[in-house]
Amino acid sequence: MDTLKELLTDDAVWHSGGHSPLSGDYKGLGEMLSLFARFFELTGGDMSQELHAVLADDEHAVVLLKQHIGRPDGRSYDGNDVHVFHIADGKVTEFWGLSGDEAASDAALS
Amino acid sequence: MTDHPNAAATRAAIEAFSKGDVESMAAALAEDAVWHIPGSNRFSGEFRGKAAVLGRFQQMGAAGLRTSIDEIHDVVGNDEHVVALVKISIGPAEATASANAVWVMHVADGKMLEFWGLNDNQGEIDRVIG
Repeated sequence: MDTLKELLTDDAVWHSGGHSPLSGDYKGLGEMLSLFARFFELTGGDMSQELHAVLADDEHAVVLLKQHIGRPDGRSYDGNDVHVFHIADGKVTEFWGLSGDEAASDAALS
Repeated sequence: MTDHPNAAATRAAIEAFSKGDVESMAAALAEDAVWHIPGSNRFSGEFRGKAAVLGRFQQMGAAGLRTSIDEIHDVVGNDEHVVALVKISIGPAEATASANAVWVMHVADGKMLEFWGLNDNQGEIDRVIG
């Protein structure tokens, strides 16, 4: 938790893509932690990420990853996702999560 | 920080594409390029080979669909990958859908070898393209 606080600005915004109940904008660490808790509830912890590549310049960091989401009822999503971070003064100010297959991701999370 | 050469070359190709300069765009593609287009519209899917990739753009144009690049927000690259963050509008002139798009490319020998597009508004794009 302290690590997250150090990495994020106080007003950092997390944009969770797609059109599932978890999609939307979450501002500040408190709202983000609520989102992560909701992810955990929905998946029972069956979430994993395999890093493919990380690219960065002075303003952005981009993570290419294989995302797995599993649901207790058997639904699942496996896709090539991209995470984009806006960074200023060494802290994350904004995050966007994009799914390689938005419809499939929405279906698994709805 | 200076752009990685792959990022600079890709940025130039995207700028060419945005101006309708198909020749420069075509020159940046590997002969065995593969394009992965997201969504469930009639132009979604996998397009293999430079001719198929360019053919898709031509077919979209013939169908009255245009992809406008409203902003090249940033292009980040290393030796293997380039990621372009762009704002696009896509669709027929009377009803376009806008999206923040991420274009992920595998680059080899200075040419675009494989492309994956991700849009934050895919459902709307599918709706306007049909």
